Amino acid sequence: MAPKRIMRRRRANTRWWVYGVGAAGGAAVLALFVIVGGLIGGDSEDPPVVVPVARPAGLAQEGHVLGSPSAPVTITEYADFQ
Amino acid sequence: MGVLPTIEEEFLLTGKAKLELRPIAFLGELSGLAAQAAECANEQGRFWRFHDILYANQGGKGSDAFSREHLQRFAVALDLDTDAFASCLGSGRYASTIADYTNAAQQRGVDSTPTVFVNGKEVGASLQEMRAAIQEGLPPES
Repeated sequence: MAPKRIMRRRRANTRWWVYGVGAAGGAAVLALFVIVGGLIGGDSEDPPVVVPVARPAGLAQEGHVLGSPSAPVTITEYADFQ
Repeated sequence: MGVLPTIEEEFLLTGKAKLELRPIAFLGELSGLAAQAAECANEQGRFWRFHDILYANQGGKGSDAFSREHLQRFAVALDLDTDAFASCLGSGRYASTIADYTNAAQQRGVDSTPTVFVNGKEVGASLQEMRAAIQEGLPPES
């Protein structure tokens, strides 16, 4: 009878060891998802804003008008930004 | 090189021509919102910087590239007074201005964009056509 009891205890100990490793592995996989998700998703979902180069300082800009107000030719452009 | 940079270099920087831009909204709610945002940037003297950032970040018809959130990000990127910008955009105070521009454009026969006039005469928006029309409009000594 005694040897059987020993066998049962060993099986129970083995089971806890397997559960422990499984839980640790699961936690590691979960942590990996969180880290990778943070790197890929989150704030980086928005594309970076492209900021164009500024125009030369010598080019007059007043309201909707670009260029010298006294220029002899007037170009009028109707534009839809989208 | 695109049309506008070439026109700028050849005619605007040399004082031969000036460009007046009328923002209009043909393509839906967000194009109207983008045009209003440009007017709000104009309150801070940054109309053309905002114009440029809009074109640099276009998403096309149906995209959300010009959502309120993205327009606000553009304001941040240009170092505008973002509170004033958000307040302006949120108030919708330029909605009627853009509607007026759009109606005026339609009355002038504009049914697509960009549509360009040189000294009041409609011309094609290609570099060659614009260059020819500008040169034609210059005084003889230019």
